[in-house]
Amino acid sequence: MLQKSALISEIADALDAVRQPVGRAKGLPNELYNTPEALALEREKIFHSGWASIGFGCDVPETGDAVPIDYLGAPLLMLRDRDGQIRVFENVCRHRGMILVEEKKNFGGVIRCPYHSWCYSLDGRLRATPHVGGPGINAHESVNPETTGLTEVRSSVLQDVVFVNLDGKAPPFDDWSAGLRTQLADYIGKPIFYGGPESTFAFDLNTNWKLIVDNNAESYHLPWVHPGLSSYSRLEDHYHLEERGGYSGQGTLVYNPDYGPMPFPDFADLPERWNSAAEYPCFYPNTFFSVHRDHVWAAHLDPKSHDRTVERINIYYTTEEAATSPEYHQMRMDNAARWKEVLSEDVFVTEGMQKGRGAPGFAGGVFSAVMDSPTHCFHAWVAERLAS
Amino acid sequence: MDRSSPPSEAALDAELTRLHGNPDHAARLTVLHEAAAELFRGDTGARRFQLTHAWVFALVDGDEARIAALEEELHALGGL
Repeated sequence: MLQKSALISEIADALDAVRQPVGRAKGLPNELYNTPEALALEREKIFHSGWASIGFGCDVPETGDAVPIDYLGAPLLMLRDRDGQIRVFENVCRHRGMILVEEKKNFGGVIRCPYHSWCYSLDGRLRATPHVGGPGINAHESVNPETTGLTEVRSSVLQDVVFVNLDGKAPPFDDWSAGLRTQLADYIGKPIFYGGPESTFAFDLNTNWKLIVDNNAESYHLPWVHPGLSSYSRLEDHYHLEERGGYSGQGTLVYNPDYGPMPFPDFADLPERWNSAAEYPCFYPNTFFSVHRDHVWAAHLDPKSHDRTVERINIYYTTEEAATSPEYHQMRMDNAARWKEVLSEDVFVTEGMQKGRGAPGFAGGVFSAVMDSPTHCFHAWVAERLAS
Repeated sequence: MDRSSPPSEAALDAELTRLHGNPDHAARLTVLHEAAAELFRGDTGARRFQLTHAWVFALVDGDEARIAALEEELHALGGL
């Protein structure tokens, strides 16, 4: 079995080939899809050293809500503090490393470690160390509460998606996401309202996380894989979104949904072009955004192993009424069903490409310089991160 | 949360055993440990021990007034 360092040496030439101009480049090599060591390498070089998504703000809607998250083996705790801010901590007691929270719950008071009952407030402060100085003696000079709070992880929220940088060394999130935020500038900052459980769905996919990004980034497959979608939004109506180093994806010049007798309300003050346009950027490594004049959605990829990924999609609307009122209930159901159907059509592709990575003669494949440049952007970004 | 008066000594012991460490009953456990502390008026160590547990469960419950009162008492007993 390859170790991480051996893997990076073995694929060094292949990573160079990925970073060539798109017309001459190869895709990422099979080893990055077929081995557990690949995910271990990506965990170190991509997920834990950069910014990546771990969930959604709507997972912790109320003050005191907390949810444990296994972030590629790192136990995290995402919570909403007393000020209503989302914070992320390592989900371990600073005493003996016990996992603090095993399942989602609301904390009206402190978070108590189930082992020795050390208690932490929602801002991470160590609040109580019972019996630490002997029975009934609850303070001792050997344990300084000022320096023994929960370990906070850098976090930031964009369009309700929660991002973290585990090693604390990545550039500030605003710098990291500057290109994407420019691309979506007409939408970012406008209030969005989660459509609730009926506006959430997920796929548990037998595929590597990168292949889901590959597929979402390009429009080339639309006429072959999404016949219903293509019947009103043709291939020639689409354009590429590309920023080498940050995100890539697709946009369409044709967005004209039919929800029946009444529409969803649009966002206020959108430029005219959004009357008929929509965009779908993949924000590297593991987040998809989509923007339409009357709703947005975001998807988070959770790599469970090198060949299994859970994809979760949340849909948001422009007003609280559109997101929650019974008047819009059926429309929300229909919209979620429509998106679920479209994204379901991709499952055989993403899982089929994973199976294809078992072919010894497949060496990353080639790209169309015209149609595949958003996919190549992503491969080149991965190659850069792994080679760094 | 059940903040009703504590039961007799035997019943107190039984209820503490039944609810042992259950954070879903933090308010009740605070009451029970405070009641247990009352049984040790002449034994500072045992009283401090019980009040420590009452304090922890008051913290879990988020009952600020009770937390403040318990911390004051624990300070007085040398527990904080």
